[in-house]
Amino acid sequence: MLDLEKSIADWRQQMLAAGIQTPVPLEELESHLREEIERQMKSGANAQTAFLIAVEDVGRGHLLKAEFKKVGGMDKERQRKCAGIIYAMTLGFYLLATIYAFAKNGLSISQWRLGLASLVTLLLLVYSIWRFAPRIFPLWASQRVRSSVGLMGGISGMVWLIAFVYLILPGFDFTTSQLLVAISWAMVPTLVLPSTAFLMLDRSESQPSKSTGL
Amino acid sequence: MIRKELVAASAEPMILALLAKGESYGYAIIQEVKARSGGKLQWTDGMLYPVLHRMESRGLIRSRWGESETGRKRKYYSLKKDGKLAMSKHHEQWSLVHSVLAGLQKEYYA
Repeated sequence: MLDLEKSIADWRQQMLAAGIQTPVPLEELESHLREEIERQMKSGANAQTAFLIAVEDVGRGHLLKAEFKKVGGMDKERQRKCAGIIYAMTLGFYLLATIYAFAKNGLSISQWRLGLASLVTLLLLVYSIWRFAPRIFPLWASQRVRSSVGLMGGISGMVWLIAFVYLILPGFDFTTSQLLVAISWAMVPTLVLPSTAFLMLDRSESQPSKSTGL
Repeated sequence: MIRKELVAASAEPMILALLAKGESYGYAIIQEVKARSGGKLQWTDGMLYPVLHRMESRGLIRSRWGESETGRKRKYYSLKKDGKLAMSKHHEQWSLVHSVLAGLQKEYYA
């Protein structure tokens, strides 16, 4: 006579071996398996037949794993949202820190104007990119092109900052207040380009798969 | 038997509509779909769960662990606000498809 509990334990091992490793799906699938076994047995099937029918109905482990993997893709979407929030917080922190540095270092009125103009430019550019860029991106249908452009945007922001610090700055003899204003302008592409890159990568990777294995 | 592609496409609106009636769990959802379609809508049972999990991570439904009458663990799903909105959109779209097909069929048999 079939030992139902042992058979279910073996089935669990097979599912684990197939890659259904996270506890939630496996618990849920086991619950389903047990419901089906119970229903089959109430309909008159013996334990072995009920178990085999239930296993067949639940499906093969590797196919289920492939479907659950697509759910993992959605977690990536959540991660991107978190990255977006972190970016917004970094931007907010940068703006406050810059204004604080301006106030602390006794900038002249014209330096204040120039410095604040850099912050306003930064905000307007970031807003414009997030507002209008999504309309442009669908024109680039190739995911590879969008990913490449996105990565280039991210890298070029960093390259620009390095070039500014090591190549441009040494050519000038700035006072502290002038240096602050110059840095605030240098930070505009450094902070704008990653936002473009992020949006580009976001658009290229966040489209969830609609297909199901049902 | 209904084609696999149509079964897959109708899964989400059907789950949303079933959950709109109240909280339910995977096994019951499958049984209800089978019963309502006279067994013509056949889902591979296990494949329902990735769909439910995907809908949950999209914020359409929520889940909680509970117990059956016999004390067995069960994961119950219910509709969230975004799920209700998604359901209306699906309803609109499926109604449109249905009305176009019905209109064409009427003309064909006229």
